[in-house]
Amino acid sequence: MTAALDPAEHMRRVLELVRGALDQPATQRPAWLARRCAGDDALQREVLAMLALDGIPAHLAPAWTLTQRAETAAADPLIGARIDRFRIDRRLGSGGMGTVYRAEPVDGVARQTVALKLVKRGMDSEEIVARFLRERTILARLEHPHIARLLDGGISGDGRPWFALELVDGQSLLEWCDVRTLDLAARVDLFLDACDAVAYAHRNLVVHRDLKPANMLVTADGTLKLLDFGIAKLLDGAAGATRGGVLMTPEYAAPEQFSAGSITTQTDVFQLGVVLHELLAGVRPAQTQRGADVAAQLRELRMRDPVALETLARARGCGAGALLRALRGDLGRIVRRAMQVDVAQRYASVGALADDLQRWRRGVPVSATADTLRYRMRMFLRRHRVAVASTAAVALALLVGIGVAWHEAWQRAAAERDAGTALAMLEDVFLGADPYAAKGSDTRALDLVSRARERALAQAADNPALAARLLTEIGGVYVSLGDRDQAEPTLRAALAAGERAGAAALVHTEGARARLAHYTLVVDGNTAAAGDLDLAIERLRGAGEPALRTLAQALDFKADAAFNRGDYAAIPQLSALALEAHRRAAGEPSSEFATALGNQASLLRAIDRADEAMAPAARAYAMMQRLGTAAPSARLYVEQQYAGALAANGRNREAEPLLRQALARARATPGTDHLLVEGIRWELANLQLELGEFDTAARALRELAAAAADKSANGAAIHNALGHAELGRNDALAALAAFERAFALLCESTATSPPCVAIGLNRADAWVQSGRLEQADSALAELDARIGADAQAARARWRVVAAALRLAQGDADAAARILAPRAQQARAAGAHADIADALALVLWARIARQRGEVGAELADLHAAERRMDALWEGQPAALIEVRARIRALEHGAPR
Amino acid sequence: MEPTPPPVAIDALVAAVRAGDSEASDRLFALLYEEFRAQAHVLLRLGPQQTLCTTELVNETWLRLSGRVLAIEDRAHFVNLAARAMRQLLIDRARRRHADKRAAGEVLTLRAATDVAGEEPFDVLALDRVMTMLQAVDARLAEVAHLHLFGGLGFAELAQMRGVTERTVFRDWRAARMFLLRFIQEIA
Repeated sequence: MTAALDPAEHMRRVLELVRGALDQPATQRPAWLARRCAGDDALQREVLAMLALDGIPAHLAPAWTLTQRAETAAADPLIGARIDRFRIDRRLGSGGMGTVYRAEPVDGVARQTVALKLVKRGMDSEEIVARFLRERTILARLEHPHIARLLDGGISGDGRPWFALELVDGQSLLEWCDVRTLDLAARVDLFLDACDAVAYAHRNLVVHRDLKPANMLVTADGTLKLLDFGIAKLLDGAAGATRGGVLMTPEYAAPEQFSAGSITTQTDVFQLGVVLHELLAGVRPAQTQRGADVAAQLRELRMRDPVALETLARARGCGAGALLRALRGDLGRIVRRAMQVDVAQRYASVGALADDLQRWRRGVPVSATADTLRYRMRMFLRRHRVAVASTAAVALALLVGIGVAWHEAWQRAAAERDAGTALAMLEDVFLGADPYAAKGSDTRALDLVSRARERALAQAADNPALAARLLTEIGGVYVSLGDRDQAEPTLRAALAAGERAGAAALVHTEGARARLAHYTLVVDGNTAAAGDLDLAIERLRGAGEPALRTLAQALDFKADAAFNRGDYAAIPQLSALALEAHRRAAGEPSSEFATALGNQASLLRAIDRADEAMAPAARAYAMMQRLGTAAPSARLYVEQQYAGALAANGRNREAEPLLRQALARARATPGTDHLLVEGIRWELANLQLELGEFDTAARALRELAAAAADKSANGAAIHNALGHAELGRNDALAALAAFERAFALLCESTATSPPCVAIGLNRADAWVQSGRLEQADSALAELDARIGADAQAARARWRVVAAALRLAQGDADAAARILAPRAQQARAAGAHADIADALALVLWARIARQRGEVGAELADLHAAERRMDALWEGQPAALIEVRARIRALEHGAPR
Repeated sequence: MEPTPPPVAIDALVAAVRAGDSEASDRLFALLYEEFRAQAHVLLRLGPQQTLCTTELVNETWLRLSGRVLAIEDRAHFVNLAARAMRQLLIDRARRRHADKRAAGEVLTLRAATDVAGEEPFDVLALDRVMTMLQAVDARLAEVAHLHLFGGLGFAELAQMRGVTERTVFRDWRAARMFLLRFIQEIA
């Protein structure tokens, strides 16, 4: 017990723990604290109570001012009393004319707790009562999911009017968002609910006039409710407008409220603008800056106290730079237009404001902005932001092992920052004077990029360092747009300029060199560029801190290249190097590091080390959950990897819902990189293969195959998986076509790599099943020589295919000799059995049948059925056949 | 009102304070108290719940008195005194008004210009009492809060002055603020 301590000593200890806890990430504080408090619950509670006050605006902290305290402290005779069918429970708050209580229905059929508002004693003048009744009338006509509903009303025993509202148990809009560190997009989404409610009120001829965050409560489940129509106004009059009164909240009041001008629905638009300002920027518009620039206000704050701005930004899940950029752009313009002092320049309606916000959410031009070329170009680049951010052309994935995939996605969150730099630079350097503004309105954004390139090229002689930097960025834009024809020459020009510039442009020069090498290595499968990539890595390594991120990308390229040429042995080390570089570049936890962990998991999965993939995948997933506000694409990618790792470790039933949700979310999120969507679909298709849902899987894979046009390993992976699906559907010819396509894509030149051995075995299997035994025979002999002693998975698969061939050739004994060790292994696998085991047992049963060993056949059929039943959700042909055969045997009628 | 250069050489006073001259310190304190009183009077006459931006007051007062930018080595001494003077002035005012007519203490919005939470309405007397409590518990936190609230010092400057990182200062301020929020509720 701590009570024995001197109180000051005790407080000192509390403060010490509070400060210590502040150094922990918010999510880890409770656990950290529990360890420190070692069972002293009172101490722990005290520290937590204190921490709960961190960052809460003082006016929201309970009982902050004396005035409020005095009211709370005074005994309220109404507590415990009854009003109509409600019992007053406690006081919730007090306004100018009324007091709000929490009240329970005494005998109500619906046991809903309500907020009961009652005119204050002594305030029941005719005017106030009239206003009170008007609020009730107004509420009675408003029924909307985002407006607290009127439930009941009447006159109390002592003649004071009251009414009961739906009790909204929530936090104020600002607090709700801050506590959850919601990003700007999520804040806008919530705000749109408020707009919806206000627009609805307007349609019902009600102006709220007192819109402020404290009147917008958000419940625990995230539902926003608009409250307090206490000074709302009915617009019933023919004029459609009314005079302002003295009642208002000055901080949120529109200019016409101060000047007693006309109160219209646009008064609410202004107030919504103030709320939006505070919601996005964390500060209310300065009095002098009404209608002015929200970004300017934050820039001023940055001058005064960068830490404060950083804290504000962090509460919005971004950095100070990103927050300033966002508010300097369309969002800032929307706020400014909503807050125009001149009503004629303000949004004409809440609907128009909401419409612009929705446009911002979709990433399309908003009406608050003049449609300049510069603006359209920015929107174009932003829509392609994820794409601009990706630094590599390859995106989908390689299966090629047996049922595993690798999706390569490149550090999207960090790259978004890079893209921001690229955007800022393109803007500043090329569009600063808006040189294209006069050039007619139909110039497309891509043309501007290409003109920007021309300008950069023109500068190359005078300022090679700047040219190298710009050309590398512009090259990155083309890479991400998948336009290799433009990307390559741009990057080559960057390289040439950079080499002239020397050390000043080292990071960009080597970045360009690494990208070019990656193209050649991965897309062309030409290993001649390996030396270039190594050179870039070496130089970047020597360049220290500023080169870290580029170095990490180059190491990613290298791991990618190793994977692409089938050099699996090199992968673990390369992947560890890349991971470490990302950790140093971005810190931990960070969205970039989580993505790099996801990359590592995907690589390990791809080289058949699924068990090792679990740890990084789970770590990445946990990190993303904790980060909360990472870029949606990075989050989706990490979820995909986590689900993939789960599936690869036999945890299909956990993986499937995750993937389905991720896919739904990816499709619902505007602007999600289509490659990311395809990656998730790919993962899902593989899962369906595992679950025996071959028809569904084949459909998805055919679509993916049609979309994957490049000659990378991705296409091979998709066709290979499609072959599996077709085999599962008993369509050997379609399977053969798919495997042959996969082989042609990947293995013409390097048939000896592990993935090509796997595809070769699959193709041989399809040859056997479609009766082309001679081709199968020679291929299997060749593969036999090629499979190394340590390639156990490949050997096991070879045994099954070779045994199937012998059986098809009529030599059951030879088949048995080949398959025996594999069948033994399958029987021993027990709980860890997979479908390959089941298929080996089915084959063994067929051999036993040829050899007349009915008992052995039945036993292995049962074993196979159990395994299939455990693993498959669907009813594939193979399972139906096994069951039919078991029935036939058990009913004593073997054919 | 056109500011007139004061008869005292404020630079010399600050230099004397820096050298440890306690009489100079008293004189400077009195000077600042008067200055703040005059300026706050204009502002607070407008009514209750006004915003007093301590950063602006402290900085502008210095500029008015000396006509030049304060050297960093003098800044700590000056702000220390200024914060004390400001706090004393606010307490005196609140006490007077308390005695005057009001049941409650004066509620004043102090703005240190740099606070994340924006303007914070403080009941000055309650705040003073809780600050004194904090002083007894943790003098370092109390000083950070004192200089930040009453001296209007930003975190960057506080860090420089105390030779620690901004992060540390900000953490101290957050802890101090939590303490104030927590106990201002209790003592009333």
